[in-house]
Amino acid sequence: MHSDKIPTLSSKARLKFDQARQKPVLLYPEGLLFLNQTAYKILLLCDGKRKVDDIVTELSKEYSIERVEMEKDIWDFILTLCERGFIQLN
Amino acid sequence: MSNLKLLPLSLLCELTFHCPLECPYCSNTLGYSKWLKEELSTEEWIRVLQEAQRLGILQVYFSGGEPLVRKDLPVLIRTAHDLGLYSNMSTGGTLINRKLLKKIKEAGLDSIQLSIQDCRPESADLFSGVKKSFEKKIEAVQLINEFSIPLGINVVIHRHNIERISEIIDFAAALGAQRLELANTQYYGWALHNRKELLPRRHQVEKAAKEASNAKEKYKGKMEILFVIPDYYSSFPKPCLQGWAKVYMTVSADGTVLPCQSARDIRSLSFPNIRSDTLENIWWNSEAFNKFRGTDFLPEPCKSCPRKEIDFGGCRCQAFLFTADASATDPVCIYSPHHHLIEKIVEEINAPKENNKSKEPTFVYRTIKNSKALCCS
Repeated sequence: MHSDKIPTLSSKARLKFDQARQKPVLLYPEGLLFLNQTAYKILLLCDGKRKVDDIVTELSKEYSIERVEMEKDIWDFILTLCERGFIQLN
Repeated sequence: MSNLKLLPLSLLCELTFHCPLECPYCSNTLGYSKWLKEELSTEEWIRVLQEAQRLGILQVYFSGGEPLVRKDLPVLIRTAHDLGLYSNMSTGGTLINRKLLKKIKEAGLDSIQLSIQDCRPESADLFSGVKKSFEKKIEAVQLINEFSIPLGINVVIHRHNIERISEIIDFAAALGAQRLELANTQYYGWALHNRKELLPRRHQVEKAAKEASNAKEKYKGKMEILFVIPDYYSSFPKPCLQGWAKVYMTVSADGTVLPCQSARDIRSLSFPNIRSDTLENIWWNSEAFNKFRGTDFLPEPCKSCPRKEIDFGGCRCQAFLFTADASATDPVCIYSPHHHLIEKIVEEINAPKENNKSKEPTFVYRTIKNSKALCCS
Protein backbone atom coordinates (compact mmCIF):
# COMPACT_ATOMS: atom_id res chain seq x y z
CA MET A 1 0.00 0.00 0.00
CA HIS A 2 1.42 3.31 -1.11
CA SER A 3 -0.01 5.99 1.08
CA ASP A 4 1.20 8.76 -1.18
CA LYS A 5 -1.22 7.60 -3.90
CA ILE A 6 -3.92 10.12 -4.82
CA PRO A 7 -7.46 8.81 -5.25
CA THR A 8 -9.93 10.61 -7.54
CA LEU A 9 -13.56 9.90 -8.19
CA SER A 10 -13.73 8.66 -11.79
CA SER A 11 -15.62 10.60 -14.43
CA LYS A 12 -18.47 8.08 -14.68
CA ALA A 13 -19.23 8.27 -10.94
CA ARG A 14 -21.18 11.07 -9.30
CA LEU A 15 -21.53 11.66 -5.61
CA LYS A 16 -24.56 13.43 -4.25
CA PHE A 17 -26.78 13.77 -1.25
CA ASP A 18 -30.23 12.40 -2.03
CA GLN A 19 -32.76 14.78 -0.49
CA ALA A 20 -35.71 12.39 -0.91
CA ARG A 21 -34.13 9.64 1.20
CA GLN A 22 -31.80 11.86 3.23
CA LYS A 23 -28.86 9.63 2.31
CA PRO A 24 -25.62 10.10 0.42
CA VAL A 25 -25.46 8.14 -2.82
CA LEU A 26 -22.89 7.25 -5.46
CA LEU A 27 -24.34 7.14 -8.96
CA TYR A 28 -22.76 5.35 -11.92
CA PRO A 29 -23.92 4.26 -15.39
CA GLU A 30 -25.61 0.99 -14.49
CA GLY A 31 -26.72 1.63 -10.95
CA LEU A 32 -26.09 3.29 -7.60
CA LEU A 33 -24.86 2.70 -4.08
CA PHE A 34 -26.33 4.27 -0.99
CA LEU A 35 -23.50 5.18 1.36
CA ASN A 36 -23.04 5.46 5.07
CA GLN A 37 -21.66 8.67 6.56
CA THR A 38 -18.05 7.43 6.71
CA ALA A 39 -18.04 6.19 3.12
CA TYR A 40 -19.49 9.53 2.04
CA LYS A 41 -16.77 11.43 3.88
CA ILE A 42 -14.02 9.32 2.34
CA LEU A 43 -15.39 9.90 -1.16
CA LEU A 44 -15.74 13.64 -0.57
CA LEU A 45 -12.03 13.67 0.22
CA CYS A 46 -11.16 11.74 -3.00
CA ASP A 47 -10.79 15.07 -4.78
CA GLY A 48 -7.64 14.42 -6.76
CA LYS A 49 -5.57 16.58 -4.39
CA ARG A 50 -5.34 14.62 -1.17
CA LYS A 51 -3.17 11.54 -0.75
CA VAL A 52 -4.67 8.45 0.91
CA ASP A 53 -2.38 9.32 3.81
CA ASP A 54 -4.01 12.76 4.15
CA ILE A 55 -7.47 11.22 4.12
CA VAL A 56 -6.52 8.81 6.91
CA THR A 57 -5.13 11.69 8.96
CA GLU A 58 -8.18 13.89 8.49
CA LEU A 59 -10.70 11.19 9.32
CA SER A 60 -8.79 9.84 12.32
CA LYS A 61 -8.78 13.35 13.75
CA GLU A 62 -12.45 13.84 13.04
CA TYR A 63 -13.50 10.55 14.61
CA SER A 64 -10.78 10.64 17.33
CA ILE A 65 -9.66 7.16 16.37
CA GLU A 66 -6.03 6.03 16.07
CA ARG A 67 -4.65 6.17 12.53
CA VAL A 68 -3.64 2.50 12.55
CA GLU A 69 -7.20 1.48 13.31
CA MET A 70 -8.62 3.42 10.39
CA GLU A 71 -5.96 2.93 7.77
CA LYS A 72 -6.85 -0.60 6.72
CA ASP A 73 -10.59 0.09 6.48
CA ILE A 74 -10.05 3.17 4.36
CA TRP A 75 -7.69 1.31 2.06
CA ASP A 76 -10.10 -1.61 1.70
CA PHE A 77 -12.90 0.74 0.79
CA ILE A 78 -10.81 2.66 -1.74
CA LEU A 79 -9.46 -0.51 -3.36
CA THR A 80 -12.94 -2.04 -3.65
CA LEU A 81 -14.22 1.05 -5.42
CA CYS A 82 -11.08 1.12 -7.55
CA GLU A 83 -11.78 -2.40 -8.73
CA ARG A 84 -15.26 -1.35 -9.77
CA GLY A 85 -13.87 1.64 -11.63
CA PHE A 86 -15.44 4.30 -9.41
CA ILE A 87 -12.11 5.61 -8.13
CA GLN A 88 -8.81 6.10 -9.90
CA LEU A 89 -5.55 5.89 -7.97
CA ASN A 90 -2.67 7.91 -9.33
CA MET B 1 -42.75 -0.44 6.27
CA SER B 2 -41.51 2.99 5.37
CA ASN B 3 -42.64 4.21 1.98
CA LEU B 4 -39.15 5.57 1.43
CA LYS B 5 -38.05 2.04 0.65
CA LEU B 6 -40.47 1.93 -2.23
CA LEU B 7 -39.43 5.14 -3.95
CA PRO B 8 -38.37 4.43 -7.52
CA LEU B 9 -34.67 4.81 -8.39
CA SER B 10 -34.57 4.76 -12.17
CA LEU B 11 -36.62 5.94 -15.08
CA LEU B 12 -36.33 4.62 -18.61
CA CYS B 13 -37.45 7.20 -21.16
CA GLU B 14 -38.24 5.55 -24.49
CA LEU B 15 -38.13 8.87 -26.30
CA THR B 16 -39.12 7.56 -29.70
CA PHE B 17 -39.90 4.35 -31.56
CA HIS B 18 -38.09 5.62 -34.65
CA CYS B 19 -34.73 3.99 -35.28
CA PRO B 20 -32.39 3.96 -38.26
CA LEU B 21 -31.45 0.34 -37.46
CA GLU B 22 -33.63 -2.74 -37.92
CA CYS B 23 -32.26 -5.26 -35.40
CA PRO B 24 -34.40 -8.40 -35.34
CA TYR B 25 -33.93 -8.75 -31.56
CA CYS B 26 -35.26 -5.32 -30.63
CA SER B 27 -37.06 -5.40 -27.30
CA ASN B 28 -39.66 -2.87 -28.48
CA THR B 29 -43.14 -4.23 -28.90
CA LEU B 30 -43.96 -5.67 -32.36
CA GLY B 31 -46.79 -3.21 -32.83
CA TYR B 32 -44.70 -0.07 -32.18
CA SER B 33 -45.74 1.42 -35.54
CA LYS B 34 -49.21 2.12 -34.07
CA TRP B 35 -47.84 4.83 -31.79
CA LEU B 36 -45.35 6.60 -34.07
CA LYS B 37 -47.55 9.68 -34.38
CA GLU B 38 -48.34 9.90 -30.68
CA GLU B 39 -44.89 10.82 -29.39
CA LEU B 40 -44.73 13.05 -26.34
CA SER B 41 -43.73 16.67 -26.94
CA THR B 42 -40.66 18.35 -25.46
CA GLU B 43 -42.83 20.04 -22.82
CA GLU B 44 -44.41 16.74 -21.85
CA TRP B 45 -41.01 15.07 -21.44
CA ILE B 46 -39.76 17.99 -19.34
CA ARG B 47 -42.79 17.52 -17.09
CA VAL B 48 -42.01 13.78 -16.84
CA LEU B 49 -38.44 14.55 -15.75
CA GLN B 50 -39.56 17.12 -13.17
CA GLU B 51 -42.12 14.72 -11.73
CA ALA B 52 -39.55 11.92 -11.71
CA GLN B 53 -37.12 14.00 -9.68
CA ARG B 54 -39.85 14.95 -7.19
CA LEU B 55 -40.79 11.28 -6.86
CA GLY B 56 -37.24 10.37 -5.76
CA ILE B 57 -35.85 9.05 -9.04
CA LEU B 58 -32.07 9.42 -9.25
CA GLN B 59 -31.21 8.08 -12.69
CA VAL B 60 -32.61 8.54 -16.15
CA TYR B 61 -31.92 6.31 -19.14
CA PHE B 62 -32.70 7.96 -22.47
CA SER B 63 -33.46 5.24 -24.95
CA GLY B 64 -35.84 4.40 -27.76
CA GLY B 65 -35.85 3.39 -30.64
CA GLU B 66 -32.92 5.68 -31.20
CA PRO B 67 -32.97 8.66 -28.80
CA LEU B 68 -30.78 10.73 -31.14
CA VAL B 69 -33.67 10.87 -33.61
CA ARG B 70 -35.24 13.42 -31.24
CA LYS B 71 -33.97 16.90 -32.03
CA ASP B 72 -34.77 17.99 -28.46
CA LEU B 73 -32.50 15.39 -26.85
CA PRO B 74 -29.89 17.99 -25.71
CA VAL B 75 -32.69 20.01 -24.06
CA LEU B 76 -33.96 16.92 -22.23
CA ILE B 77 -30.44 15.96 -21.10
CA ARG B 78 -29.93 19.52 -19.85
CA THR B 79 -33.23 19.36 -17.96
CA ALA B 80 -32.25 16.07 -16.32
CA HIS B 81 -28.83 17.43 -15.45
CA ASP B 82 -30.21 20.62 -13.91
CA LEU B 83 -32.61 18.52 -11.83
CA GLY B 84 -29.62 16.62 -10.44
CA LEU B 85 -30.52 13.38 -12.22
CA TYR B 86 -27.75 11.08 -13.46
CA SER B 87 -28.32 10.73 -17.20
CA ASN B 88 -27.45 7.86 -19.50
CA MET B 89 -28.09 7.50 -23.20
CA SER B 90 -28.53 4.12 -24.88
CA THR B 91 -27.79 4.58 -28.54
CA GLY B 92 -27.03 2.67 -31.72
CA GLY B 93 -24.50 5.41 -32.44
CA THR B 94 -25.04 5.77 -36.18
CA LEU B 95 -26.46 9.30 -35.88
CA ILE B 96 -23.60 10.66 -33.79
CA ASN B 97 -21.51 13.47 -35.23
CA ARG B 98 -19.07 15.89 -33.65
CA LYS B 99 -21.45 18.83 -33.41
CA LEU B 100 -24.25 16.82 -31.83
CA LEU B 101 -21.96 15.03 -29.39
CA LYS B 102 -20.48 18.34 -28.26
CA LYS B 103 -23.99 19.66 -27.57
CA ILE B 104 -24.88 16.53 -25.62
CA LYS B 105 -21.73 16.64 -23.55
CA GLU B 106 -22.27 20.31 -22.75
CA ALA B 107 -25.85 19.53 -21.77
CA GLY B 108 -24.42 17.32 -19.03
CA LEU B 109 -24.79 13.72 -20.20
CA ASP B 110 -23.08 11.40 -17.69
CA SER B 111 -22.57 8.27 -19.77
CA ILE B 112 -23.26 6.53 -23.06
CA GLN B 113 -24.17 2.95 -23.69
CA LEU B 114 -23.52 2.09 -27.30
CA SER B 115 -24.82 -1.06 -28.90
CA ILE B 116 -22.64 -3.00 -31.29
CA GLN B 117 -23.99 -5.99 -33.19
CA ASP B 118 -20.75 -7.86 -33.75
CA CYS B 119 -17.00 -7.36 -34.09
CA ARG B 120 -17.01 -8.10 -37.82
CA PRO B 121 -18.47 -5.51 -40.17
CA GLU B 122 -20.32 -7.91 -42.51
CA SER B 123 -22.11 -9.72 -39.70
CA ALA B 124 -22.76 -6.53 -37.75
CA ASP B 125 -24.46 -4.96 -40.77
CA LEU B 126 -26.42 -8.16 -41.39
CA PHE B 127 -27.79 -8.09 -37.83
CA SER B 128 -28.60 -4.37 -37.82
CA GLY B 129 -30.17 -4.68 -41.26
CA VAL B 130 -28.33 -1.55 -42.40
CA LYS B 131 -25.21 -1.35 -44.57
CA LYS B 132 -22.21 0.57 -43.21
CA SER B 133 -23.81 0.87 -39.78
CA PHE B 134 -20.76 -0.81 -38.25
CA GLU B 135 -18.43 1.74 -39.82
CA LYS B 136 -20.52 4.62 -38.43
CA LYS B 137 -20.52 3.10 -34.96
CA ILE B 138 -16.73 2.90 -34.94
CA GLU B 139 -16.53 6.57 -35.89
CA ALA B 140 -18.98 7.33 -33.08
CA VAL B 141 -16.83 5.48 -30.54
CA GLN B 142 -13.78 7.51 -31.58
CA LEU B 143 -15.71 10.73 -31.04
CA ILE B 144 -17.10 9.58 -27.68
CA ASN B 145 -13.56 8.82 -26.52
CA GLU B 146 -12.31 12.13 -27.84
CA PHE B 147 -14.96 13.92 -25.76
CA SER B 148 -14.08 11.72 -22.73
CA ILE B 149 -17.65 10.59 -22.17
CA PRO B 150 -17.74 7.38 -20.10
CA LEU B 151 -18.57 4.54 -22.51
CA GLY B 152 -20.20 1.19 -22.00
CA ILE B 153 -20.69 -1.18 -24.89
CA ASN B 154 -23.61 -3.52 -25.20
CA VAL B 155 -23.63 -6.50 -27.54
CA VAL B 156 -26.79 -8.55 -27.86
CA ILE B 157 -25.71 -12.18 -27.99
CA HIS B 158 -27.49 -14.82 -30.06
CA ARG B 159 -26.84 -18.00 -32.02
CA HIS B 160 -25.07 -16.24 -34.89
CA ASN B 161 -22.48 -14.27 -32.88
CA ILE B 162 -22.09 -16.25 -29.64
CA GLU B 163 -19.16 -18.26 -30.99
CA ARG B 164 -17.15 -15.06 -31.48
CA ILE B 165 -17.48 -14.01 -27.87
CA SER B 166 -13.72 -13.81 -27.16
CA GLU B 167 -13.16 -11.83 -30.32
CA ILE B 168 -16.01 -9.48 -29.38
CA ILE B 169 -14.55 -8.95 -25.90
CA ASP B 170 -11.08 -8.08 -27.25
CA PHE B 171 -12.70 -5.78 -29.77
CA ALA B 172 -14.69 -3.90 -27.11
CA ALA B 173 -11.56 -3.50 -24.99
CA ALA B 174 -9.67 -2.08 -27.98
CA LEU B 175 -12.50 0.42 -28.48
CA GLY B 176 -11.92 1.72 -24.97
CA ALA B 177 -15.11 0.49 -23.29
CA GLN B 178 -15.09 0.72 -19.49
CA ARG B 179 -17.86 -1.83 -19.33
CA LEU B 180 -19.05 -4.52 -21.70
CA GLU B 181 -22.45 -6.03 -21.40
CA LEU B 182 -22.75 -9.30 -23.29
CA ALA B 183 -26.50 -9.26 -23.19
CA ASN B 184 -27.96 -12.59 -24.10
CA THR B 185 -31.09 -12.00 -26.10
CA GLN B 186 -34.20 -11.74 -23.98
CA TYR B 187 -37.17 -13.17 -25.77
CA TYR B 188 -39.73 -10.38 -25.87
CA GLY B 189 -41.00 -8.24 -28.72
CA TRP B 190 -39.06 -8.72 -31.94
CA ALA B 191 -36.63 -11.15 -30.33
CA LEU B 192 -39.50 -13.44 -29.39
CA HIS B 193 -40.76 -13.30 -32.95
CA ASN B 194 -37.29 -14.27 -34.22
CA ARG B 195 -36.52 -16.74 -31.45
CA LYS B 196 -35.96 -19.73 -33.75
CA GLU B 197 -33.15 -17.86 -35.47
CA LEU B 198 -31.66 -16.36 -32.31
CA LEU B 199 -31.70 -18.87 -29.46
CA PRO B 200 -28.21 -20.36 -29.11
CA ARG B 201 -27.53 -24.08 -28.69
CA ARG B 202 -26.47 -25.51 -25.35
CA HIS B 203 -22.88 -26.24 -26.33
CA GLN B 204 -22.51 -22.67 -27.61
CA VAL B 205 -23.77 -21.24 -24.32
CA GLU B 206 -21.43 -23.39 -22.25
CA LYS B 207 -18.40 -22.48 -24.33
CA ALA B 208 -19.27 -18.78 -24.30
CA ALA B 209 -19.78 -18.74 -20.52
CA LYS B 210 -16.32 -20.24 -20.05
CA GLU B 211 -14.69 -17.77 -22.42
CA ALA B 212 -16.44 -14.82 -20.80
CA SER B 213 -15.32 -15.96 -17.38
CA ASN B 214 -11.68 -16.20 -18.54
CA ALA B 215 -11.90 -12.76 -20.11
CA LYS B 216 -13.22 -11.30 -16.86
CA GLU B 217 -9.91 -12.22 -15.24
CA LYS B 218 -7.90 -10.98 -18.19
CA TYR B 219 -9.53 -7.54 -18.19
CA LYS B 220 -9.94 -7.13 -14.44
CA GLY B 221 -9.54 -3.49 -13.45
CA LYS B 222 -9.58 -2.37 -17.10
CA MET B 223 -12.99 -3.32 -18.42
CA GLU B 224 -15.89 -4.76 -16.49
CA ILE B 225 -17.53 -7.69 -18.31
CA LEU B 226 -21.06 -8.82 -17.71
CA PHE B 227 -22.31 -12.13 -19.10
CA VAL B 228 -25.42 -13.86 -17.89
CA ILE B 229 -26.53 -17.10 -19.53
CA PRO B 230 -29.79 -16.95 -21.48
CA ASP B 231 -32.61 -17.60 -19.03
CA TYR B 232 -34.02 -20.47 -21.14
CA TYR B 233 -30.87 -22.37 -20.07
CA SER B 234 -31.09 -21.43 -16.37
CA SER B 235 -32.72 -23.51 -13.66
CA PHE B 236 -34.22 -20.47 -11.97
CA PRO B 237 -35.65 -17.25 -13.37
CA LYS B 238 -33.97 -13.86 -13.35
CA PRO B 239 -34.94 -11.50 -10.51
CA CYS B 240 -36.70 -9.36 -13.05
CA LEU B 241 -36.41 -5.61 -12.25
CA GLN B 242 -35.65 -6.63 -8.65
CA GLY B 243 -39.40 -7.01 -8.35
CA TRP B 244 -42.39 -5.47 -10.13
CA ALA B 245 -42.76 -1.72 -9.53
CA LYS B 246 -40.05 -1.73 -6.89
CA VAL B 247 -37.25 0.47 -8.28
CA TYR B 248 -37.87 0.98 -12.01
CA MET B 249 -40.39 2.68 -14.19
CA THR B 250 -40.61 3.27 -17.92
CA VAL B 251 -42.30 6.05 -19.82
CA SER B 252 -42.76 5.00 -23.41
CA ALA B 253 -42.73 7.21 -26.51
CA ASP B 254 -46.51 7.65 -26.52
CA GLY B 255 -46.67 8.43 -22.79
CA THR B 256 -47.68 4.96 -21.63
CA VAL B 257 -46.18 4.34 -18.21
CA LEU B 258 -44.94 0.80 -17.61
CA PRO B 259 -43.35 -1.06 -14.69
CA CYS B 260 -41.14 -2.75 -17.29
CA GLN B 261 -40.39 -1.89 -20.90
CA SER B 262 -41.83 -5.20 -22.11
CA ALA B 263 -44.96 -5.02 -19.99
CA ARG B 264 -47.06 -3.56 -22.79
CA ASP B 265 -47.34 -7.10 -24.12
CA ILE B 266 -49.21 -8.20 -20.97
CA ARG B 267 -52.57 -7.69 -22.59
CA SER B 268 -54.52 -8.61 -19.48
CA LEU B 269 -53.41 -5.30 -17.91
CA SER B 270 -54.14 -1.78 -19.03
CA PHE B 271 -51.45 0.81 -18.45
CA PRO B 272 -51.82 4.46 -17.48
CA ASN B 273 -50.62 7.35 -19.62
CA ILE B 274 -48.66 10.37 -18.47
CA ARG B 275 -50.95 12.58 -20.56
CA SER B 276 -53.85 11.94 -18.22
CA ASP B 277 -52.12 11.31 -14.88
CA THR B 278 -49.05 12.19 -12.84
CA LEU B 279 -46.03 9.95 -12.45
CA GLU B 280 -46.49 10.03 -8.69
CA ASN B 281 -50.11 8.93 -8.76
CA ILE B 282 -49.27 6.18 -11.26
CA TRP B 283 -46.42 4.86 -9.10
CA TRP B 284 -48.46 4.70 -5.91
CA ASN B 285 -52.05 4.21 -6.97
CA SER B 286 -52.41 2.67 -10.42
CA GLU B 287 -53.73 -0.87 -10.69
CA ALA B 288 -50.99 -1.84 -13.13
CA PHE B 289 -48.18 -0.87 -10.74
CA ASN B 290 -49.79 -2.39 -7.64
CA LYS B 291 -50.89 -5.64 -9.24
CA PHE B 292 -47.65 -7.61 -8.78
CA ARG B 293 -45.88 -5.59 -6.10
CA GLY B 294 -44.19 -7.68 -3.43
CA THR B 295 -44.63 -11.46 -3.43
CA ASP B 296 -48.15 -11.91 -2.01
CA PHE B 297 -49.71 -12.38 -5.44
CA LEU B 298 -47.52 -15.39 -6.25
CA PRO B 299 -49.18 -18.81 -6.54
CA GLU B 300 -47.53 -22.13 -5.75
CA PRO B 301 -44.84 -23.32 -6.25
CA CYS B 302 -43.48 -19.80 -5.49
CA LYS B 303 -45.74 -19.20 -2.49
CA SER B 304 -43.94 -21.69 -0.25
CA CYS B 305 -40.53 -21.38 -1.93
CA PRO B 306 -37.70 -19.52 -0.14
CA ARG B 307 -36.36 -18.37 -3.51
CA LYS B 308 -39.30 -16.01 -3.91
CA GLU B 309 -37.31 -13.41 -1.98
CA ILE B 310 -34.42 -13.86 -4.44
CA ASP B 311 -36.16 -13.96 -7.81
CA PHE B 312 -39.69 -12.71 -6.98
CA GLY B 313 -41.12 -15.51 -9.13
CA GLY B 314 -39.23 -14.25 -12.18
CA CYS B 315 -40.55 -12.19 -15.04
CA ARG B 316 -44.25 -11.24 -15.24
CA CYS B 317 -44.02 -10.69 -18.99
CA GLN B 318 -42.54 -14.14 -19.60
CA ALA B 319 -45.17 -15.70 -17.33
CA PHE B 320 -47.90 -14.07 -19.40
CA LEU B 321 -46.36 -14.89 -22.76
CA PHE B 322 -46.18 -18.60 -21.92
CA THR B 323 -49.20 -19.15 -19.69
CA ALA B 324 -51.57 -16.24 -20.44
CA ASP B 325 -51.47 -15.60 -16.67
CA ALA B 326 -49.13 -12.79 -15.63
CA SER B 327 -49.19 -13.86 -11.96
CA ALA B 328 -47.88 -17.37 -12.71
CA THR B 329 -44.42 -18.64 -11.83
CA ASP B 330 -41.97 -17.76 -14.61
CA PRO B 331 -41.84 -20.97 -16.71
CA VAL B 332 -38.04 -20.77 -16.78
CA CYS B 333 -38.12 -22.11 -13.20
CA ILE B 334 -37.63 -25.87 -13.05
CA TYR B 335 -40.45 -26.05 -10.48
CA SER B 336 -42.95 -24.25 -12.70
CA PRO B 337 -45.83 -26.46 -13.87
CA HIS B 338 -45.24 -24.88 -17.29
CA HIS B 339 -41.51 -25.53 -17.43
CA HIS B 340 -42.04 -28.18 -20.15
CA LEU B 341 -42.88 -25.33 -22.54
CA ILE B 342 -39.35 -23.96 -22.15
CA GLU B 343 -37.84 -27.42 -22.34
CA LYS B 344 -39.62 -28.09 -25.60
CA ILE B 345 -38.17 -24.95 -27.21
CA VAL B 346 -34.69 -25.75 -25.94
CA GLU B 347 -34.96 -29.34 -27.21
CA GLU B 348 -36.03 -28.21 -30.66
CA ILE B 349 -33.11 -25.82 -30.95
CA ASN B 350 -30.66 -28.48 -29.81
CA ALA B 351 -32.00 -31.31 -32.01
CA PRO B 352 -29.34 -32.45 -34.46
CA LYS B 353 -30.08 -31.09 -37.89
CA GLU B 354 -28.51 -31.88 -41.24
CA ASN B 355 -27.07 -29.29 -43.59
CA ASN B 356 -27.90 -26.55 -41.17
CA LYS B 357 -24.44 -25.48 -40.21
CA SER B 358 -23.75 -22.66 -42.63
CA LYS B 359 -27.30 -21.54 -43.27
CA GLU B 360 -27.77 -17.79 -43.51
CA PRO B 361 -30.19 -16.50 -40.87
CA THR B 362 -33.66 -15.53 -42.04
CA PHE B 363 -34.70 -12.71 -39.74
CA VAL B 364 -37.86 -10.70 -39.66
CA TYR B 365 -36.34 -7.24 -39.26
CA ARG B 366 -37.78 -4.50 -37.07
CA THR B 367 -39.20 -2.18 -39.71
CA ILE B 368 -42.34 -0.09 -39.81
CA LYS B 369 -43.58 -2.19 -42.72
CA ASN B 370 -43.09 -5.46 -40.82
CA SER B 371 -44.62 -3.98 -37.68
CA LYS B 372 -47.74 -2.99 -39.59
CA ALA B 373 -47.97 -6.35 -41.34
CA LEU B 374 -47.58 -8.32 -38.09
CA CYS B 375 -49.99 -6.27 -36.07
CA CYS B 376 -52.78 -6.08 -38.59
CA SER B 377 -52.76 -9.84 -39.11
